[in-house]
Amino acid sequence: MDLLLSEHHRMVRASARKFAEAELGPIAEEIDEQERFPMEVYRKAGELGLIGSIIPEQYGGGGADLLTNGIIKEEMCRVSAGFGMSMNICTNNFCYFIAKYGTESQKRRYIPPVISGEALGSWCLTEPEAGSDALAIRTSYRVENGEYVITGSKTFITNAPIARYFIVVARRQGTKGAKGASLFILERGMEGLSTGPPFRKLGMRCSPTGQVFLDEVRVGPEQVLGVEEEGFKTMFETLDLERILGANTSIGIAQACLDASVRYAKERKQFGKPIAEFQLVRNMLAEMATRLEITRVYTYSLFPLAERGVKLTKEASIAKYYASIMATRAALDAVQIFGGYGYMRDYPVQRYLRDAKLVEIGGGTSEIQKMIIARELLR
Amino acid sequence: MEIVALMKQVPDTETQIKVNPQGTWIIEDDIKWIMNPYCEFGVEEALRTKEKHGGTVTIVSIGPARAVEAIRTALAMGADKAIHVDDPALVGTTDSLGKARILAKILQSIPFDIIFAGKQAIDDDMAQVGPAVAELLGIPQLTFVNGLEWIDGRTVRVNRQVEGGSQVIECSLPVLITCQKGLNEPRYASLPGIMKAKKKPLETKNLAALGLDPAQVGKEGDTTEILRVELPPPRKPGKIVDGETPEEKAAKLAKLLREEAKVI
Ligand SMILES: Cc1cc2nc3c(=O)[nH]c(=O)nc-3n(C[C@H](O)[C@H](O)[C@H](O)COP(=O)(O)OP(=O)(O)OC[C@H]3O[C@@H](n4cnc5c(N)ncnc54)[C@H](O)[C@@H]3O)c2cc1C
Repeated sequence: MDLLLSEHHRMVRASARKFAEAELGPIAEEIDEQERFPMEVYRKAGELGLIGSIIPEQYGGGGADLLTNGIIKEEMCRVSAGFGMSMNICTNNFCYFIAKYGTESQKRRYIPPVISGEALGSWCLTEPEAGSDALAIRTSYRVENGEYVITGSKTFITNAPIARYFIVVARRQGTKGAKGASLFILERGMEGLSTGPPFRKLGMRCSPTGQVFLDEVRVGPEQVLGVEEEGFKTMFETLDLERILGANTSIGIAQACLDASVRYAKERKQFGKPIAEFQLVRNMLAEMATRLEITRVYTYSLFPLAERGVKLTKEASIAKYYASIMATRAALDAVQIFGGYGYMRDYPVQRYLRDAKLVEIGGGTSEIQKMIIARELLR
Repeated sequence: MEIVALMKQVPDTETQIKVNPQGTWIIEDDIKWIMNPYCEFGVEEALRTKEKHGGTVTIVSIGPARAVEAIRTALAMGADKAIHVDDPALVGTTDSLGKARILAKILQSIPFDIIFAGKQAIDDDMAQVGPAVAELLGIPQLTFVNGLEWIDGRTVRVNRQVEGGSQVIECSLPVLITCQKGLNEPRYASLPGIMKAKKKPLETKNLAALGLDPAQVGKEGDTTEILRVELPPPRKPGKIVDGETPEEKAAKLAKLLREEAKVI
């Protein structure tokens, strides 16, 4: 499969894989167990240019194409999906978003500290009453003497407990539906902004998730990101890419499942021979590899189109949806191939399963993706 | 300072090696290729030398078109330029002397103060190219180096791994050093490094361009010939010594060690 890639992308993969295996590999179980985000690895990723790969060079980024980031995310997720997810919130949802819609001074202020690995960003949309139904957000703002006063709360926010920066979606008081929302860049330390403790999760446990509370947070117009009151429109423009990148998380996890399963099936002996000799085990390996490789090719093919600005609503949802069920299936089968050992916390495959389940929920559930796919078909 | 790192692309250590049907070489399709890990120590040391003394790092590599990827990786790590030798007459060559002649020819045409090479390539494990190049150039060589410090801008002090201990040698430039594990921890190719590598000069030359005769350094000129390549035989299963008592087991084991294994 890698032969389909350019030399550049193969080199990116080789370097990202080497980094992930050496820096994340030895601690992947421990950071899951301790629910700790490895800031030291994040800093090193920053030094290597992995966080800012797709950010323009004038803001300290690598200026690479979008697939480069997809590959980096995949390689991080192959070793620690929680780390890959947290890091990519910083890359794509925070920095790339600001690089695309921010003002010059916003770009200069917010991008460098994040891509250097010094600080984390976050992306705050979901609320207790607004999950799949994103337009139902209640966090609101009013304008007072040219200042914006924001009140509300956000939940399930990746990186929130440790992030320095927050892109917050809030609607202008009195507006409803798809109109009236604006995006704000907020900073820890602003009066009225606080965060809750990290939630205790099933998987993705090294990626801290938490609440953000906004109590009359007062900011000037320089904190507004993109066009005022067009927040949802701006956000929907970026959803395609976010969903395609969601598929990369799944691909990374599934690759980890496949690698572990192939290795184990050759090693583990029962009935006097390696379990890899049994047809039912081979079937699981063949199914896993087939679904994985097809998903990867489909997902990769979308990046150059997204780069050119082609609308990919249906395709991005197909990639995200299919990749997520592909990954949970791969993880279930990997646990099966490992037998009782697969169920033990001493082996990483149970972690792959716990991590994989998130990709069917975060960034839009499978049900929502199928809703979108069908809606696009029936247009 | 003019710094040169000789580098070879080899099959990934994790690749499952298969022998070709003729039993003369391995099947090269489907293999993942990497920079020889010992050469990687050399590239890293070359970069550290540049960071200390300034200058340029030139990568020199012989190999087919696929070798360019390993060369680009070295450029992405921070090397400045590269010379790549590729010629149809080299397909299937296995001779260390021929390779050394090519490398020496290049080194005679470019300035150098210090040359780094891997102690050996992990594919054929010959460990001859580095020393042969030094001989052909008539310069000193320090082999199996696992530690290096600079006394001044023209003198190195190295640690060599030798049987049962280590040897410390001081040497003035020019010198060729073959690198052993322990010398350093090679850096990762950074993303900006990968981006910049594409624009760095990489010259591919054939034998004619180097003024070399295929009859001397190509397949025809090989001074050695590989007769057969085979995989190591599968390991025999271990033997479990049984017996009623520990004494009985020990006696049986001693007997086996003496009569079968012939080690005591
Ligand atoms: C670990 C983690 C990290 C996250 N990180 C972030 C983040 O950084 N930023 C952020 O803003 N959000 C984040 N989220 C939130 C995530 O995007 C939401 O959880 C997700 O969109 C689903 O919303 P919900 O949890 O409220 O579920 P609900 O919307 O309540 O859904 C419950 C169930 O109902 C189904 N359902 C809902 N509506 C329909 C429908 N119309 N038709 C059919 N079925 C439907 C859903 O598919 C699901 O099965 C994160 C979540 C998790 C778990």
